[in-house]
Amino acid sequence: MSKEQLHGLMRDALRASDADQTEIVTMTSNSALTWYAENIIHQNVAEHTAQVQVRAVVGKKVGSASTTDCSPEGLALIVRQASQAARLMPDDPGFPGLPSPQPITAGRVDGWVAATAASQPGERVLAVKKVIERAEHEGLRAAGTYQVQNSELAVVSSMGVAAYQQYTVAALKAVVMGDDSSGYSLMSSADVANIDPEATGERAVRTAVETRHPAEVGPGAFEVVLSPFAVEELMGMLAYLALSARSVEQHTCFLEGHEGEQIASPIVSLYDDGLDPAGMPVPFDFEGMPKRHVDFLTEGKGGNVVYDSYYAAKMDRATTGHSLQQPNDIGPYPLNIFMGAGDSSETDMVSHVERGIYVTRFWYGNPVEPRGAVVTGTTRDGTYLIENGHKTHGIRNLRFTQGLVDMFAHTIEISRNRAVLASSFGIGAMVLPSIRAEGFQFTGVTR
Amino acid sequence: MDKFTERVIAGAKRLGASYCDCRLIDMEREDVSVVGGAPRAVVHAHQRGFGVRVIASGAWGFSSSSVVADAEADHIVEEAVAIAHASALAKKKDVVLATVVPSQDMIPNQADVDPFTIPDSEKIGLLAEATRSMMLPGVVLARGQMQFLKERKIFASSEGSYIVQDRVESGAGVSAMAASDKGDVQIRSYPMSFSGDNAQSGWEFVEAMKLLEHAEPTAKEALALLAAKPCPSGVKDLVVGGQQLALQVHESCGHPSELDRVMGMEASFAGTSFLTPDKKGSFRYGSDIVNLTADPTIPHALGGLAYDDEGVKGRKVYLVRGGIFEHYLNSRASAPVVGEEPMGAMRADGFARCPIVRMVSINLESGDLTFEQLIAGVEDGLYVDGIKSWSIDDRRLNFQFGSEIGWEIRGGKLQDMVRNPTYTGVTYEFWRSCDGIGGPELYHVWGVDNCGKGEPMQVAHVSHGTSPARFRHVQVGVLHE
Repeated sequence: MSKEQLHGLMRDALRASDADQTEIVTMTSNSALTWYAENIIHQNVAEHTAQVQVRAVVGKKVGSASTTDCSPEGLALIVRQASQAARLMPDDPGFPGLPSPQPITAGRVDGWVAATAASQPGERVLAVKKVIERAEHEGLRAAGTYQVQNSELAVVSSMGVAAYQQYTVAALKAVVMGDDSSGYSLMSSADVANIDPEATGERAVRTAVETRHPAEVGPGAFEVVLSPFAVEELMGMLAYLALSARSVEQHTCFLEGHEGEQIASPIVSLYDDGLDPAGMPVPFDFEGMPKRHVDFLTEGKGGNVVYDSYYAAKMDRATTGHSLQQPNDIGPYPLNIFMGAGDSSETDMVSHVERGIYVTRFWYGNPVEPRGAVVTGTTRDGTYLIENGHKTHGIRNLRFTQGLVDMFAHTIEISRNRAVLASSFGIGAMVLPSIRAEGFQFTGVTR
Repeated sequence: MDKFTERVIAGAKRLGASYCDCRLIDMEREDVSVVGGAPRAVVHAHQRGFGVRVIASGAWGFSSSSVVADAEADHIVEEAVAIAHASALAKKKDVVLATVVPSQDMIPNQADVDPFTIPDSEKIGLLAEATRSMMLPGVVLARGQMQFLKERKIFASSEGSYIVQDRVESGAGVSAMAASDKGDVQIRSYPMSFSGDNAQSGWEFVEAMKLLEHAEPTAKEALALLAAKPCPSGVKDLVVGGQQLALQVHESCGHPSELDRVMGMEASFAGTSFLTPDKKGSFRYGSDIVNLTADPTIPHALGGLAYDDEGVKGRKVYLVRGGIFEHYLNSRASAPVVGEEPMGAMRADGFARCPIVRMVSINLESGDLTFEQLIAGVEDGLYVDGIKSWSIDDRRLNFQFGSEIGWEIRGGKLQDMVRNPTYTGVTYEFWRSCDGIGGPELYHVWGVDNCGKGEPMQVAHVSHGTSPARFRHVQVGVLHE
């Protein structure tokens, strides 16, 4: 559907609303995924879905309804249902009203690529075959996914908000396994042409080969080099725990009360930027508010958190354009996290470690103590011992229990190259480097 | 068969598919959220759509759409078949399905009172009163939520199955978060963490929770935790409460017994499993008293189902019997590989996703001890309950879990409360150390509505029947303070 068609449908539905204020958010998605394991494709799927979410406001009463029916009749019905729901609700004294429109910087952002939208299942299968054949050549077993997604996000409201963006995602993931080792790689981009199956397979295969016959090392505190995949798992937990106004409300935000203070290494800068074309940009949020650049850490000094209109009003701030679909229990959320690039390379970092651990990837992270962003999880798919500046051999996976604030304070080197890692939310991406940090706490060795 | 699913099946056959099934789903959801006595959100959601799964050229294809119309049905069938042909370019052998007898059936829901007939104002009012009563000095956040689901699912297959299943789910819970001046934050929940407890029941399930009675005592426990001593560190005997044990069963028994995972199909996301086929029938998973079942037939259990999303009738199997690993959760394609019959564990998240092997109700059979007897058998240990944090490795072997609350046990009696209790271990060592399980009077089937698996991610509603149980020589207090 074109922007004009979709906005036309949504505006017609707005006119049918008898609420004081009405907002309609539509997401359509045509996505396909080829899922492979044990060197065969075991699922190959496509889905064509639409979801329309309506917020209707009557005085201080707010009602919501959603549907998968994107027809004019379906939209009119859901608008009426939301309005009826609002009238049945008690007043929500804290509801600030729907946000008024703000200019959206659309020109800088183009996250949609025609070739990705048009890609066919046969192309995905041939790409996956390249990964499988590379693994088979080494006597290894390949697993992973190749996903392509063509989506639209549109927001209109009776306040005059009118926002629309198309975006595409292509992501090829490989986990390659041997008898006692495994390797991992992921490549994602808005443009399917940037996905290189040979390189993806090669990295995962090389790791699986190099980490064969793992030794047992640890537990204890080690100097670490973390790949961007490992950093992503940690930043995902941090985003949930500590980077939003909701985390301030819940007193789980390590930035609370530390704005401008040096709380991390001066080489660490962490921010959210929904407009930066280096990531997977979408210039507005699910309320149609423009994405603002938000600095969480600037050269190690504490900064701000992200807001949606509800929390902005509650905390007397301006929305930063980080609303998820309303209403929700997650609160505002950073979907475009960047860590500032350093001036090193992963190879240089490893060469600077006398004895330490290289982590390809972390797994199943979960918070242990929210206030210090203390999280636990295990390493996975390629953990190396580093000795005298070289990755000497694979080691058994380790459990870590680490405060992320403490890790930021002990970060001593950051790579200049950063990986673009598409979000599991289906919108946005993190752009992250490799990092070297001292004193990373490993609390157990897995079997 | 209705005309729509008939058209889908006929279309797939015409295009050369050797097998086709279609799920046509109409689902309503309602989610109510209240914070500190004020409504935060009430969301009514409606989903309608269909998913088509085919085998063509010996390989799988799947497509789905939220547009339920004849022309779209034709398009989706064509796409599913085209995807199957593409899959076949990389196949090593043809997909083979275990034979099942086609079923024609109509399954009613299990609710006494349709929760969608209860006014929103009554739901909000109950949560508002409960959460207001939790806002004691020191409590910084009191949340309450309810969630309801009503679904009609039609399953039709080219083998002649036509099954209509109606389902109603209800769930609710409250939680209080308390914070100290020193920055410590503690949470307590009732009746269970996150979305509370859930079941295939109606409004009567929410009423039976007696949220108002339990709200204030729950908040008081959150406050008491702020003043509690830190969890001691060391190897101790551990009594695990029923809620926490539901998580333990989920993570360390449910997931590793999923056969698709065992066969490597989840390797790229959730990982594999230590329960490899060579262990079937002989591996000592737990002590003699450990019996773990997969039972989709338990009335009202959230993980219950009459038929799965392959049209297989659900039946009870022992995953672990007398401590020995015995059976997998399986599918029609995977069961024959390990010499099993399908048992009804293929489930999809809504119409849009393709079925994968999922948990149903995974349960630890009750023992014969009272709670007092469980505690009395511990000289120096810990009692923990309330799910707070969980992490387990990609083979489901090495876990570390945190609970909301704990108490020291000394001399066979509960002593001081402890905060931030954690414990860690290796799955089979932990279950082998189990020497006491609570009796039927302590047994409860907990409904968990947030089990994630698969790519793209699918969320399943599962359940776990547990009584508290006792474990010997467990490493507790992992995090130093």
